[in-house]
Amino acid sequence: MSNKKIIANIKYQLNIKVKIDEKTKLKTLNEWDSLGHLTFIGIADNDYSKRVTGDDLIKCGTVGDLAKLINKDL
Amino acid sequence: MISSIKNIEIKGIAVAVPKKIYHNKKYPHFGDGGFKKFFKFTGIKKKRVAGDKIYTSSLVKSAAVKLIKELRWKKDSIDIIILITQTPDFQTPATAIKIQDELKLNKKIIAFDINLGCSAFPYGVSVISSLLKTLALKRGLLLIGDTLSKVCKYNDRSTFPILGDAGSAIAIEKSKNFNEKMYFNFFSDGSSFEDIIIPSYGLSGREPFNKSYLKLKGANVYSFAVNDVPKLMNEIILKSNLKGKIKYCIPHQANKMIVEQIEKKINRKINFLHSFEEFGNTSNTSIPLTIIINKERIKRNNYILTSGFGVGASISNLIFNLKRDAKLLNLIQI
Repeated sequence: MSNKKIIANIKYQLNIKVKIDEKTKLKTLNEWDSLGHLTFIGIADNDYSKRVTGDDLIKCGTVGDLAKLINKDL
Repeated sequence: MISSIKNIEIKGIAVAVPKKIYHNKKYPHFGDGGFKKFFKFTGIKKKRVAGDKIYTSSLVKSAAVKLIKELRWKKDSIDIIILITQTPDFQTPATAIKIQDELKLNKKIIAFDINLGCSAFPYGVSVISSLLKTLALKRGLLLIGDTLSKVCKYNDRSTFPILGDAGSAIAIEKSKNFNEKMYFNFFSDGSSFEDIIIPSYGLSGREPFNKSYLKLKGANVYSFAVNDVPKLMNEIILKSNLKGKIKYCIPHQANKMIVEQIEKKINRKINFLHSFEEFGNTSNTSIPLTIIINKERIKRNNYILTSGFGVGASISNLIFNLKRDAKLLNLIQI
């Protein structure tokens, strides 16, 4: 799965208003709060059958890191 | 692996909640998005709060007294009383023993506490059922309750607006004439013990005793709930050979987001029952509370799948048949 497609999906489902790419820092996004974390875990589960934990998310600094979590072992 | 037991019947359920209602609309610590965003994700409008004068024992005793009366059980006919709680009245002695005296039950009774959270209902039914069978006893009273509002930090939005207080009593009887089996399966993963924790209660020296609060790593809990729980639920549905016969399903009422995600992965022909909107996440009591809140909707003589999951991490599932004569009491408010 291309990172671009995953990032577009993240932007849509988290309802992120600004433009984002792999380098976008998560801490700059208002939508990346505790409920945003849960939404992302739901996206990983529903759309990519991928198990992501809160501990995985703590290690992510950028939107690209989130895409890498999805692509891991796929 | 699943387990089964026969000749054990749930004879009645009663649930008590505090009268005091907390409306989450008034909660000041939601941050961006406020109550509207919180409600969209959690589905929790309000919850019950015990306050200073109501304890776990107050709630479960109220439920037990009414249930014993309704069933016309003689007090000396009860052989076992087990309380499952994370908020006992005292660290020691076990609250179940104190309740033996307060309810004036037989002194020759088995009485002890179990420390479990949201997996309590199936666990408790399995423990009492096993004791009734192996020790050749007749009747048991399972008490389940928590007053977690007392251990939530008010400004912690991941716990305070979510968790509500409640207590329950479940009457369980061994009966030769009751042939429908109960089915159970279990899951424990202690590597997640810090995901939901009150650090002071274990005297582990992590925090001063009585000065710490419930802490919850929401994202880890969510990941566990939506991945491990449905797998175990589908396993018990498949291996019990009751597929198509299970009419109702009650997953622990953690919050809307978790419950809906689990339900997506379970057979859609099953009717899912809820209570979180009006009562929040009532921890270990959410399954009996959901049964009581929906008692008019439940058609008797049908199988119900219940799934308890949470702190530990711990999961337990139970499929049981609720008979026509089982007493489901109106909600008690104290």
